[in-house]
Amino acid sequence: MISPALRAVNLTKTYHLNELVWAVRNLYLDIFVGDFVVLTGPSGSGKSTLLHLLAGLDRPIYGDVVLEGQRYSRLDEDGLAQLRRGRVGFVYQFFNLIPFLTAEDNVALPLTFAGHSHPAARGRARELISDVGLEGRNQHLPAQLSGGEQQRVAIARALANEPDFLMADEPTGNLDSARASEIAQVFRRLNQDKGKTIIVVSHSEIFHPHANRILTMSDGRIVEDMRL
Amino acid sequence: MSHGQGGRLAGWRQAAILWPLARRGVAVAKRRNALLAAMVGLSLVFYCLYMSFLDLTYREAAQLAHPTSLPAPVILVYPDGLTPADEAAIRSLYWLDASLPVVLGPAATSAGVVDVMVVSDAAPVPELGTLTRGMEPGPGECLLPVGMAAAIGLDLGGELTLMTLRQPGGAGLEHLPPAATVSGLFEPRADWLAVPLVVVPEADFAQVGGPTMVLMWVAHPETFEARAVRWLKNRLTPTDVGMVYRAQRALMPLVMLRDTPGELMRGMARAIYLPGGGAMFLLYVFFGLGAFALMLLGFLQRRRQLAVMKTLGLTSRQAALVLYMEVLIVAAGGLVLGFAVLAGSMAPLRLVTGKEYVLSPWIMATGSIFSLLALLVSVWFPIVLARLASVAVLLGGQPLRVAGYERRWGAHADERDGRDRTWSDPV
Repeated sequence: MISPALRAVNLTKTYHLNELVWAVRNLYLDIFVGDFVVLTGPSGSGKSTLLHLLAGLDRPIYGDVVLEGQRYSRLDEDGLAQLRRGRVGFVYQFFNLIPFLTAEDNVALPLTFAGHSHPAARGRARELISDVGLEGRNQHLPAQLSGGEQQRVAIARALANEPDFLMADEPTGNLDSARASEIAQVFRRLNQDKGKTIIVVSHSEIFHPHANRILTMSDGRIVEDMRL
Repeated sequence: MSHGQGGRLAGWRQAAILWPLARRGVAVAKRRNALLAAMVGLSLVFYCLYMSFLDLTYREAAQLAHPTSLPAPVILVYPDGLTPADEAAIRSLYWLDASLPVVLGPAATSAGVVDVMVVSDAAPVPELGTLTRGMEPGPGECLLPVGMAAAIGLDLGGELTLMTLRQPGGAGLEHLPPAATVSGLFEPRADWLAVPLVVVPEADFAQVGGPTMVLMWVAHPETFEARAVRWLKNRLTPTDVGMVYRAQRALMPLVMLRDTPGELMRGMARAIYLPGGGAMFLLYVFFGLGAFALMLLGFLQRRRQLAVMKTLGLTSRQAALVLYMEVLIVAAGGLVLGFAVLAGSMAPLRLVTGKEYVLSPWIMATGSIFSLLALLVSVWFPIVLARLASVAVLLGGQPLRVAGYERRWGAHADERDGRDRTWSDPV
């Protein structure tokens, strides 16, 4: 039996807004190496919260996440940061590029944090930028790039340390359909050609043709687990 | 490609790798950082001016005081009190609690920097004790307690030199008698008087304008002893009396402090309240706090960036390195600016005041450290944030709180069968 690469056990997360909100409720989930998982569902169903929990960006109030044997509950914030640095690439909807760094320097950041020298990190960053089709744009600041280009830079940055997992929160939510389609193709290639395990939160169905599993969430629970 | 080695790299190598990031971080907010550097520089300027001011006043005091082997202070007791002008002059030298009829502080004698007590009393000797040898003092003469006379080797006919002691913040009394001949010895009548005393007649005081300082008592005879004992118990313990003022150490700021915490605080309060010095101290604090607030505000505005960098693998140690390097870049600019201002202002200051203000290496070194302190402290908050807060918290989607698991067993039991489960207890 193949053991899951990423496992969520009894994962629970609440928010205290005006009232107690159950963002993720007693959730169990197994994700295997090479999966392309799309998390979908209505707004407020807990997709992004679940993704943040799986990436170690947030802490559950209950339950645990286990990534290839490493329990998140046993790691402090620095431990989680180091785990993300090598194992998990994360792409935000709004790109979240550092505005005063060029595209190249943005992509070089995770490499810098991993201890690579600045020249080495920049060299590798240039390769990654080239891989996402942005040759010649590496010295541009984020403000000088279009939304689609910024998202490509964000993807290149997430891949800098060659993580096994790539997680993305509405990566096409801020793009027009043409750019969104391009980004979806980038994810497909990363999954099929490079074997990355991909988990994408998306409202739209643009990733569905490339996914092997579609999870539908509602009220903090997975209400449908469709394997393709 | 190696992963995750960042946390294990030596500090200097980490610093070298992260240096470009820190440099960019400073360069991107030029206006704010220029203001910050100016605040650091001004904080340095006012700290150094304040310390230089203190240094000067204490150097002046120390020049007038000789080192002493006498362990106890000398107390001068004056009959009939001080003239209003002298009392005002004495009071002007110190920050005084108006509710207390006492002025406390050092005076210079040939036995060193000592406390002085001035008592308004028409018949000093009966209040003090019993005259055992000699006679009541006339002009240019004084009484000494028997014990003190033995300690300093003075007998009847011996001479005690008295010197004006300028105090921080003002001129000393100008008319202290240069010397007093011992005319008599007395046995103190109470414990609190079992310390060395010098009793000088009022005539001398009227002539010379009084001692420089600074233990003064103005009281009525009927309440004199009780009040003196109460005051001494509260303010001057035997241990205190036995201590020598640090005023004898040249170039030592805050030299008028005693070796007890209470006296230290009182001395600091006096130093802070001194005109001029106080203003400079307050300006130093103002600019220091301004720099702290500005730096902290800048970090809080960059909370989202910190979250993104944590997402990419930035550890709290690396965050600390980047932030400290940013602070040091800004502070270096501020210190250069501050020293330039100081270099340009010392000569005019000396010219205008006629005083020999000195910027010693000690003052400049402590000034640099204290000016940096506000910035370094302001870095702690974002470092603690980076260490304890999750990315989601930093991104602002949740209230600012420290991340952590709340293992409320049973509170969120699995809904399928009501059992608690951890990852090791899966279905």
